[in-house]
Amino acid sequence: MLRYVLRRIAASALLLFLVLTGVFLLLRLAPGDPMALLETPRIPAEAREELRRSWGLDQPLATQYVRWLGGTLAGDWGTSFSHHRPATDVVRSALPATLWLGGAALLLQLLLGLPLGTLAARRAGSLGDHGLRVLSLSLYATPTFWLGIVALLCFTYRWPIFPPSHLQSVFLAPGAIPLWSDRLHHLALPVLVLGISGVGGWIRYTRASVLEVLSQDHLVALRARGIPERRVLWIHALRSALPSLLQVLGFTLPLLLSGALILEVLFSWPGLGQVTYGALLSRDYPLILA
Amino acid sequence: MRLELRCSLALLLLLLLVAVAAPWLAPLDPNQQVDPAAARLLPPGSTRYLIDEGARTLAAEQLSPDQSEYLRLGSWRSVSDSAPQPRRFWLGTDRYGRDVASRVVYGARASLRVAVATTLVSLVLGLLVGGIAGWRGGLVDALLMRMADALFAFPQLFLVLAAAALWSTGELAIVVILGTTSWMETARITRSEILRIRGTDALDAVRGLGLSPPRILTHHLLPFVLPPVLIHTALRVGDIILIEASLSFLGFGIQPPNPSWGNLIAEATDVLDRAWWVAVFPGAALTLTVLAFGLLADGLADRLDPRRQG
Repeated sequence: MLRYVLRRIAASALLLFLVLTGVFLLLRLAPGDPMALLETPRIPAEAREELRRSWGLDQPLATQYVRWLGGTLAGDWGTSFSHHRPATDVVRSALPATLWLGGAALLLQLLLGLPLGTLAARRAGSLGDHGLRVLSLSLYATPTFWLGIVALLCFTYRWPIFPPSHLQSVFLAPGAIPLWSDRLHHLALPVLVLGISGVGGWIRYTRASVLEVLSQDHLVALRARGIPERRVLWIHALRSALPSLLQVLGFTLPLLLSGALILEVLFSWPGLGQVTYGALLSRDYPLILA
Repeated sequence: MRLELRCSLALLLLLLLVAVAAPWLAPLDPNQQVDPAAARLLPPGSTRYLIDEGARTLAAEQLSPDQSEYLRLGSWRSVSDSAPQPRRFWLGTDRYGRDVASRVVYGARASLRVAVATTLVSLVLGLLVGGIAGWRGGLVDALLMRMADALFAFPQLFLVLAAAALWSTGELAIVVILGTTSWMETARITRSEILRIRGTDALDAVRGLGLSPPRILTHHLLPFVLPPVLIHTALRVGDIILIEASLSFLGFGIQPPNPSWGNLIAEATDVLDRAWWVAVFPGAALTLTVLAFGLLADGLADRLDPRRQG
């Protein structure tokens, strides 16, 4: 058992190493230069050279790589070129906004997806099941950014219920309650969009795993003992399906993040997605890597 | 559920037809700016009279009864020698006075081209890697599969975004980037199918008959590997179209003025408060296409997967 665990850990470490190296190479071998943005006559060439040295960009790539890998393992992720702050700082300040958005959206997805998926499994083959199937496929097929735009069209331009962008209003009454209600107000639209666009997947996965569980012997036994069908379905079946659903959580997270990235750009939401987008545009190597 | 399969095939056929026949179907050249001053952001269904003035085309709102004068931007002018042609903009125009319908039709071309090419790349890569890993086993298998895991651990959009943003944004580059980041699941399915078949007596028997390895591969392995791979691929095509669109939407995919559904929607965000049609139509086309591929995958799964029959 210990050997197995050690082997898994070694494999994960190797995986991490491969990932880090791959990303480093991908970024640094790419054409383009962060210096290009500073290429204005107003900045003298010596100053640029100086900056290049201080960022360590004058060293050969191998040296940069070793230095960066060492720093990363030690928890120092370098200094962002454009924010002039440690990259970890930039990430840390943007993280809460993304967590809010992603967390709330995930919650919405689960609250809608689990019950609907279980219902579909309960009535597999019925008209409602087919309806949900088409609905979930349509939701999966709808690009998140387009759903976002349609939501903007409906709820900020046609019927101005929600604000179009940013985390909070510029002019704000003081006090905690206006602050929070204002923030929730701004959060609502992106969360709704991100949540709804992910519900389709959850309905499908829940339906499949509950369906698989429903025919298992221990549920048949529960029914035989006279436990009401409703209880069997919502408590026992759902619980047995939980492990496979947790697995689903693992591979929906990347999707959630990608969706968040695009929506952050669309809604000017100051989270990680925005940071990544900006960092890509200005070739801010330490920041992208973080 | 034959209905799903039929619906999706009909939709895809229609789409293919639209993409192939774009030059004949599209009412106008997708990049032609019809009088940017007078024909910008026209709502769907608007009609304008196009007057050829030699160097430029003017879009008139109205003609006088004898067709000798026309109204453009609030003032009447006389028609010179050419006869005004009425032109209806079924899906409206964008802010440069380009015909949205034509751009959506041409967008289908770009999206499908990228999707098909990418799918082929990832299919070949996946079959190769999975096949080699499953057949060889041992260290080769472990290395190849760890590589697949490493790639799989990333949100594909981030990887693709970083690669496209920093490297290059041509159509070929997108195909290469998307293709090399979406073969992992195919490889995994191929590998597990091959591992499963390798252990069966049937394969030992085939080997015992002294068949050559290529023959074993094409006649006794591929028929088993293909169905699950095809189901997965049908679903992936939809994903790939979505990712290409997201990439183009963010400005790192197909570059304007060449129309793709993603960059059409991106251009529409600037005029969202005035012109809903510029954003809604390409998005609807996109959704319908991805839906068609999803239905195809579902239908194929029902048809090809013995576990889901009955």
